Amino acid sequence: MIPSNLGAFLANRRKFVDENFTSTEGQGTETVELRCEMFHGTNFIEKSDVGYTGLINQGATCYLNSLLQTLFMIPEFRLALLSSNFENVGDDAHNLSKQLQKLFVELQYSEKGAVSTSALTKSFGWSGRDSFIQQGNNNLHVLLRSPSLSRPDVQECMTVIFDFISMQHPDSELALFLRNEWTGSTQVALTCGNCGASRYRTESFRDLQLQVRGAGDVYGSMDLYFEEEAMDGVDCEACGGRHPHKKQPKVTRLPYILSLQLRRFDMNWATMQRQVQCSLRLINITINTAIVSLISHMHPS
Amino acid sequence: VKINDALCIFPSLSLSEYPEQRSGEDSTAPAITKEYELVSIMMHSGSAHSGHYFCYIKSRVQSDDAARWLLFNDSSVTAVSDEQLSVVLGTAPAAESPATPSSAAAEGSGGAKAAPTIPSANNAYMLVYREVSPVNLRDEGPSECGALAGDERIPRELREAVQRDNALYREQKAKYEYEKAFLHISVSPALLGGEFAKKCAAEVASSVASAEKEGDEKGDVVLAEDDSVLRKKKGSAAANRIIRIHESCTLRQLTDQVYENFVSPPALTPPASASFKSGVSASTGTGTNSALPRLLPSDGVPRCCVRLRAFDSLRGTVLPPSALLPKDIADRLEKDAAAAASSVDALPFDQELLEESTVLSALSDASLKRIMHLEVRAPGSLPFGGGSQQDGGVVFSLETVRYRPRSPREREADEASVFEPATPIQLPSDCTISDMIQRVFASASSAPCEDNSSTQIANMVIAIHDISSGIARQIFPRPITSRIDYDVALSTSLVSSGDRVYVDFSPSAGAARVGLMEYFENLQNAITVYFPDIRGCDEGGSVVVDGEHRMALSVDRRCALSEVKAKMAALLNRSVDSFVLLRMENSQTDTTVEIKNLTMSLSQNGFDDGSFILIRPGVPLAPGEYRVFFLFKSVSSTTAIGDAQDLFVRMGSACVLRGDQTVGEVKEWIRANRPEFLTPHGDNTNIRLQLAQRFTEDADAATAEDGKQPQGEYFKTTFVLDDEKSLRDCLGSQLKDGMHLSVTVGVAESSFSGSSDLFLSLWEWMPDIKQIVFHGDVVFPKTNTFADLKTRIQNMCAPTCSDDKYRLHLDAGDIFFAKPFTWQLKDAAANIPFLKWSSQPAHDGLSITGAPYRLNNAPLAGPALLLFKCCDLTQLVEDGDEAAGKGGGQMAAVPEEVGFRLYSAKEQLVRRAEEEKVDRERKTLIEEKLKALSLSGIHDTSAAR
Repeated sequence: MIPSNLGAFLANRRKFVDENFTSTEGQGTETVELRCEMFHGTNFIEKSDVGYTGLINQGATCYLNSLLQTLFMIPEFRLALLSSNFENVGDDAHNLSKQLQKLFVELQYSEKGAVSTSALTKSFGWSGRDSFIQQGNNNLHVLLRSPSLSRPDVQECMTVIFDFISMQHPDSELALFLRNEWTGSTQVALTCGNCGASRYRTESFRDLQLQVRGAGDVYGSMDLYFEEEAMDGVDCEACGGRHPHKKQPKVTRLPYILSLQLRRFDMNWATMQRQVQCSLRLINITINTAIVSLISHMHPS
Repeated sequence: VKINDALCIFPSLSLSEYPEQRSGEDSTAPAITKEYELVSIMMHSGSAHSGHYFCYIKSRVQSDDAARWLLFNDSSVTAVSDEQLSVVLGTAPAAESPATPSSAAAEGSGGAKAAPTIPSANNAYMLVYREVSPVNLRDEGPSECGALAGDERIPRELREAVQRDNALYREQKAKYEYEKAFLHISVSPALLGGEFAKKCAAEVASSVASAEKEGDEKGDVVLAEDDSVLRKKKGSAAANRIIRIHESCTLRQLTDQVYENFVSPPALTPPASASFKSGVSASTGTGTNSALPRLLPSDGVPRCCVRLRAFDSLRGTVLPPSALLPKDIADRLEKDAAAAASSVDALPFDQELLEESTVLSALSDASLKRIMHLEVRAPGSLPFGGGSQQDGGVVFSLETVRYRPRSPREREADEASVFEPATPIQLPSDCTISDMIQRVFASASSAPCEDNSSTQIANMVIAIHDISSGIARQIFPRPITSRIDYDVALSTSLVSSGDRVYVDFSPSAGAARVGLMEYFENLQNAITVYFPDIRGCDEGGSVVVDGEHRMALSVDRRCALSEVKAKMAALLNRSVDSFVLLRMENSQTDTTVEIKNLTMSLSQNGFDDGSFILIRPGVPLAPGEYRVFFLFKSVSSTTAIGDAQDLFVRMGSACVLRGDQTVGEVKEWIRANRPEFLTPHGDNTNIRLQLAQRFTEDADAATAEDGKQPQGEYFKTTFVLDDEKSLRDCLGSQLKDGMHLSVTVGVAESSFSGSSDLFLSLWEWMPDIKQIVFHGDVVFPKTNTFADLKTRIQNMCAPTCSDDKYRLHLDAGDIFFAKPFTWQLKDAAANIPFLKWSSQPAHDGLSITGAPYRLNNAPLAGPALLLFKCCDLTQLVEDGDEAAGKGGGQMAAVPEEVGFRLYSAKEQLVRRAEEEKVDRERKTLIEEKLKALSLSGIHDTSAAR
């Protein structure tokens, strides 16, 4: 059960977020059917000694399982999701928010050793194992592509799920949590080398993509990320003309939950083995012309 | 490319956030430092292409507030030791011995990936930190279902659904636990010996025609037929019975229950599944009924000996007892066997005896797919050596199938091989196989069973097992492929007196069945011989055969081959003298044996029912000459795109080659005589010859239907590359008559000079026929410029462009490099549908338009397949620096665009309109997103969308 001190947290969250809280009480009495995954292979999966429930790999969904367990194990996220009221928006089977909630309830209360994620992935619009069909959520089918074509990506998946929930249920507890506690911001200062005038641009982030190569440790990665960068021939609005500029990003807001993505996959231009599959990702290619990491294409938004 | 650099991960972080600055202001507000704790590490093991994700997550459920790390690996959740954790965090080096996380759950779950072996810091992929704050919530772990009622924040219907699900799960689990401890054993009364044999024989006689039961039992072969027809006879005493017994029972309890069941039938229905509380069965017979006959008086002497053997029903082979037995018993048997080897009197049979106190579950180590045969016999009734033969040998034969939920497919497979001996037929030991089959057939058809029994029998393939020698030796394999002389007496070569033979009629497909039907219908030793339809002869004197159309001839198997030949000639209306007869294993293989002695009969030449004869007209080969079939690779199939030259095979023609002919000469012959197989506009300088070992013609159909790998088998073995060498030198002993040489025309890997050349494969998308047409392959040195490349492409495609219908849009095009392509990648490439191939623009800023770049400026590592996409450059640059990714996105979205395309001007207008419609929606979305991004803030973004 949800511990009582979660209630205190909830109250605090209410203070932090100046939004209305909609109670979930008394909503509907519809019947929800869960599929009983009786056997996995030939045996029952016994519940682990540690008490938590696992997730069955449907085939190439281990990345999703990792993500879901991580989310589940963040108590604040779990609480926010379980407390959210995702009022019926069309068909439940295609409602990612609802399915995610349902899965979390299962993780919380199921006596099984592992439960299935198939209802959730079905709500993504994947059919069967992971093939992609152009139906279901009209937004998701733009956002999510089948993982069968490329290496599935935890961070991409997270972003898509978060985006979808924020979009479809902007007033839900979870959306508020994501907005307020899982979003940070950086500010990039562009300083003219000639006149010293600075321009600023603020960007929000849900995770930071850190470079691994040559970093040594996480701090090193952070340093690389926020390294000052010299740029040539940038138009300066203050003094006119093109001058060398210095570009300096820094964090202006640290989120409550900070996720750091370690960039381990690079595009190999000779073989083109890491292909960008999602057209929406194109938007965010800004830096790094020599090696563009696949993951860096994604920007949380 | 995956970067595996080690990265030290700190369990806590101290980070600063800075005040936001505005233009013209100098903010002096101090930075705020926040403390973070690591809560989750998502790991990736494997390469960039494949691998496994799992994660380590910190949980705080313990009351002492000590953090506990857990490994979540799909269905398995396990605790992580401190040592493992420090390896994960990179604070300790990876241990020498793999620090394998215990993966209890993963073991049982067949589909789960293997647990990660060496977790180390260089596999961390994503980290999640949480701010350390007084309002931090503590995870209190998953809840018991009973506690649900008080939790009102969670939607009720979800809670109730889980409660229902849990209840169902508990129920099913209990049922499963209960059921899985039971063995289902089928017992055939027909094989009961001694008193039981007599008792059952009487029962059998009452329901089944008993004409076959005459004769002296001692010297006869007892034949039990396994016949689905007989199995259908409801209530027949001959029917097998299923005994359901708990695995904790001993062998003695099993035998007791067997007696009980056979004396007082039926009482065999398994207990209703409603009451499965404990795991122990109450149905275990104890044999206390005094009315039960006993094999031996109950004087403490062991009542039975159990002999065990494992029969792999899928392969039809017998496994050694050690494969079935638990290790200690197997070891003991082995030791006994070693000891017995010194003693002449010892019989192998006795080594397999099991004590009656052996618990059944101790025998259940066998793979569940196998069928166990348990033979239980009284110690005094051993037919060999120690026992008296009068008792009739084997007491009864049991088959056990362990309970297990099975997929329908598995069930089907098992069904076909279920061992259910039924009615015994006794035959004199001098009867022949031929007689035996007829007897079986006659008895089955005379039995008062359902309508079309004879048809059913005729549709069976016969397998005969000798089941009495301790090993279920298959003496008449199925399907009938090899030589069996029907006239051989049972006693002379196959089985010995007193043996029990198990005749298995099992449904089978194909020619063998037909042949058998023929045999039964005529009962005159007829053999049906199939031979390929001859389409014609080529100039080499070889035939062109049509594998699709076979012709059949039914002849007596005692008739000489010369007669068969004459009949064939009559059928084909050709002269007899010009035929060469070859025996084929079956229609699907090309393993042939030339038949030289035409005076011998069919059976002497190894022909069975449904045999295949390949006949070839033409001149006999001189010594040193070989008749060679060429398999030309055709490029006419669109599904063959992944590997243009190699997927699609057509049996072209044959010619006679001399062993001393050089490979070069053969290639010359191909160029001169088979121009239709050359690629029209490609580079035909290279012809590859390769020995093809097996070949089936189904490949075409399978490829066309579902785009999968061709079903046909086609093993290529030896490359024949050296033009100067003779065929004999190249192929050695593999050179023989009837061999197949696969011929690939086009570019071969030997054409590449190092990594400086590109492999260029040109495809054209034909919108009107919705197909991609292959234009050819060339090897194109990388020192050429893009302009050269364009010219080359235009030249290659010129013929199809000649009518002015198509216009080349290369000026506005871009070049995409697809996966590296080598011949070695063939198999892999064939699995990848062409349209899904990844592609990307060549290089940022590297445009084909007038660029002086040479191809080797492009980052090409090796031979690559170049794909061209003709489209408007303006579309590409629209999004500025995003162009780099645009191509990829577009291609993924509109896969038809991949590849080299030529458009007619009109066609392009239509297509453009379609594309614009699709693009418009996407662009709107993109623009909004861009706008939202520049404004920053997640609120705006979600609002805008």
